[in-house]
Amino acid sequence: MRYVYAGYGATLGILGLYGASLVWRLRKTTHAARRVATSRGETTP
Amino acid sequence: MTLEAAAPAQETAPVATSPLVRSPRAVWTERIVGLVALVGTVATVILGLWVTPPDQVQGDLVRLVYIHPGVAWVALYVAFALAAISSALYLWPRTRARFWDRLAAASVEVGVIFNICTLISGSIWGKPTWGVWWAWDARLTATAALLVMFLGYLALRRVPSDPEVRAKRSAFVCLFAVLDVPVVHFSVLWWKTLHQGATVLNANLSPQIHGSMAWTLLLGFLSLTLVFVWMLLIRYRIGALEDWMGGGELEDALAARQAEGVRS
Repeated sequence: MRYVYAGYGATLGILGLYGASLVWRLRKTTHAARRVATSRGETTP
Repeated sequence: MTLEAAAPAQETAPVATSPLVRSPRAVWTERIVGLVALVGTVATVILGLWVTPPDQVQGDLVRLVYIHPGVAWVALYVAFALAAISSALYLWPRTRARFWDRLAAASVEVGVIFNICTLISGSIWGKPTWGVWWAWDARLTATAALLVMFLGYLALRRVPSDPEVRAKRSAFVCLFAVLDVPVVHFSVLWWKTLHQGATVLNANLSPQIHGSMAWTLLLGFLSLTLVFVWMLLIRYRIGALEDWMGGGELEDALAARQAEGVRS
């Protein structure tokens, strides 16, 4: 079973890390976009 | 113009084109897809690891089959296929739009992650089954070549250039790289390979898996496809925001340069 656990761990670990990195990148990019929108004089949600 | 007169104009500035503005339906769709994908993946893990029986031939190693073909399915037949369709739609003059380029880029990035998962989970299954972590088998080699080509696609997108030029050459590279997908699929038929043949999508379209094992496999396919959809939605939004900021910065720089020209 150790190979099975390793396979699940590796696959779900990679997907989980990538998913978390996407959320972090989205937050970072959204904050940057809000700053740009404010500098352009646009209202932001 | 006085400041008082300028203030209302700022408040009514057009924001409809900003990707920061999202409809409640889009927000809820993203959340529901993410939640269903998470629940489905957890259920697949529970069923795959502890509920389904071991296989007569493979023993407990069959449990890796509930995720390995699922991630391969997403990478090859969903992500890279979607990227190829989007690239073709971008290259077709009547349907050319930045949307298709962004969708292709997002789909390839997420697909590359699933491709890496395919190779790693397959390698972990291969060690106890074949006795080696890696073999230069036709299917493994073609899948690795696919990964290298799509990594090249992502590298090409990072080369600074005009957005339209970048989109066009990326689309051509994508359409070239995706030609490897049928090679991966049919490699087990065209050559003598270590890799087993298709269990579900075989030539007769008669699945070689039944009962709780088949349902768990199907749930794994659906859940991982939803994981891909959720990741694609997030990745697309990141690309849209980056494009919007990049385009805006360029416009601001041009406006500033024009203003300098007027003053001088």
